[in-house]
Amino acid sequence: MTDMLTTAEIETFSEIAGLMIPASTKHNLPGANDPAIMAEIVTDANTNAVEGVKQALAAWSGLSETSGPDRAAAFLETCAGHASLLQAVVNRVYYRTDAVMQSLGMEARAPFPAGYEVDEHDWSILDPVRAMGPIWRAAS
Amino acid sequence: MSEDIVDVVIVGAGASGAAVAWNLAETKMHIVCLDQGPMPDSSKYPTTGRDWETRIQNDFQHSPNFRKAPGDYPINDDNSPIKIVNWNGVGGGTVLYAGHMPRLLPSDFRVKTLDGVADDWPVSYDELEPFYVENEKMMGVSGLEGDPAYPEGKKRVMPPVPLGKTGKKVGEACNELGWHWWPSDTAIATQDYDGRGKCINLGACLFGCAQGAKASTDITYAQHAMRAGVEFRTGARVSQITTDDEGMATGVLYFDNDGTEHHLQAHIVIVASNGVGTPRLLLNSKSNLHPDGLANSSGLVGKNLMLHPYSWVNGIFEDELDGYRGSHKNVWSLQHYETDQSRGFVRGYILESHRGAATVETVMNGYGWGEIPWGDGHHDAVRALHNRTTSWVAVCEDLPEPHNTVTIDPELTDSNGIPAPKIDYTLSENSINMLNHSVEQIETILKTAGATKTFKQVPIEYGGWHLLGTARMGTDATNSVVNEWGRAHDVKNLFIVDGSIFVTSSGVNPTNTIQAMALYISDQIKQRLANLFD
Repeated sequence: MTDMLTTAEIETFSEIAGLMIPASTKHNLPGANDPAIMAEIVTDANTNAVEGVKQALAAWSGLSETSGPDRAAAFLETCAGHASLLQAVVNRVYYRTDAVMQSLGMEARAPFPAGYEVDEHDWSILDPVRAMGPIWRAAS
Repeated sequence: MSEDIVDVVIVGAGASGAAVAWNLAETKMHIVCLDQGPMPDSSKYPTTGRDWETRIQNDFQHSPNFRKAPGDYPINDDNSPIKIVNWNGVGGGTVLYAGHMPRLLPSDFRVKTLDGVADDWPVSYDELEPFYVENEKMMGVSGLEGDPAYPEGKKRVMPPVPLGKTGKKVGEACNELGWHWWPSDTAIATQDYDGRGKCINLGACLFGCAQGAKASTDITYAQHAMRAGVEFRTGARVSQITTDDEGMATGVLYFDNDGTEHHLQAHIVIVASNGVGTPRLLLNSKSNLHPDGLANSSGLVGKNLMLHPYSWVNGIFEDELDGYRGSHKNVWSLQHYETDQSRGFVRGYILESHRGAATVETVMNGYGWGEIPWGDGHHDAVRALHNRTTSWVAVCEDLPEPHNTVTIDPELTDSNGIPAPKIDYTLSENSINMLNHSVEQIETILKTAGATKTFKQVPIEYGGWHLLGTARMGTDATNSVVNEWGRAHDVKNLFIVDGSIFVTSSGVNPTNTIQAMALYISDQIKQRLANLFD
């Protein structure tokens, strides 16, 4: 199927994802090229942005730098639009995985229906503003 | 082609159309409200799923040119630094707005008299005030009474949304600066209200409220209108308003979802299609009697487009703030709202705290600011930003200029072959000076609050939320499209009720005023029914 990422493109994308978000021993986190995460990234790309991702991967493959970090630097420098798309696809999947959300102190769930708590405050904080008196401009 | 006859057809079921439908329902006229999009299903809104930050970049994108939903039409906005954003369906833009509901200020209705620019409105704050009150009740506006930036007596329906860590920090900064600030008026239920659940701080007001706490008109006015007998037809895309040999409107032509064309005849035609969709429809409704488009003898249909240029400044903090939790809007400042000629521009702007950012949004911002690298530094860099950013925007008053236009694109069409709108828009020197001034003020607030770094976007490129001025209101038929109660000067049974009729843009979000004007105009229709077409 020409409208899906090919095996070769997925391999390239996985390499890029690993360079973008590597695994972290310090934070006990997988990289974005973790097979389970990468499978979801590929599904997202095929569903939402396959044409753009294919173009971005082609741009990556066209770079002359040989080492991964050097190629990543060149990609960010010369192919900013393509890089931005790949960042979007990789990160929106990576940051919804259980381990990653939990490492950020979040519950691994959708916002709805549980929602979240936000601090209330005492409105005496507005006393200095009340003391200003009216600041609106009369229209007549 | 099917033929159907009703008393009133309303084109558009968004902020204004749904409000008019509800207000006219008590007349017991046969009213049909058409919308090219669907009736939203809140059970399918993005925050119901873990993939919500994927969906807001795709099927809940704000730009119709990217979203490309069946109900959308393309907009050629290549020749504008600010791109048009909207939502097509019952609820219209209120499905995607933040729910910010400031009123205009009294001075906004008298800018010619006070500042010698643009024109005065043919209505005043005092005349509109009862309709603000009614709208705020119907939409369920929360807030705190006593704001010294407004005339006394502005009652709120519910307590304000919580300040949160962010609101407290920026509020204390404003206090230190001696600046005005106040909890925002928001159309967000902070208590269970009119069948809507109270806000549970989902943090995604801009992408449909799954809780129903945010008042979009599909769950407010439209529900009440339907119970009162108004018929809403979705997937109904209007191609033109039909007219007779006397120059009166006879109804509308529309395509249904299957592409079948219908002629819906009506005694009264009310257009509520926003500041881009309305001029597009009028300009596409040419006839022998109206060769330049319907209601366009003044030549002003599509002219004077105002978009509210936004500045946006983010700050990074060491302390944890609200982050992904809570309503987008929590406080505003009207410190720089009224004209001060020493600033180098006329008129002014509201400053709005934009509470926090969701996780992927934070990461993407961090890439853009150069704060998050690829590679080993990624995780620490994300943790330095996550829940540690907040931002403010300025809604800058955009003065009317005839060269800012909505016209008909010579080539682009929608899926029914209806010619699409084209935007030509430039920022004025006044707007640029105002934007730059607002950036300095926001940076002052953020740094006073403790921001270690700030980042700006001026103007917000995909920030064309407020579509105003393209069928302006006035008493002089040579200098306006509709009269002082919303009836087209040229067509005595045609009314316009959306943001197109704004004479000036003000420097605040317009939804409350669009709806108050829609209620005012429909009230005028009710009062004048006996001789409406005289």
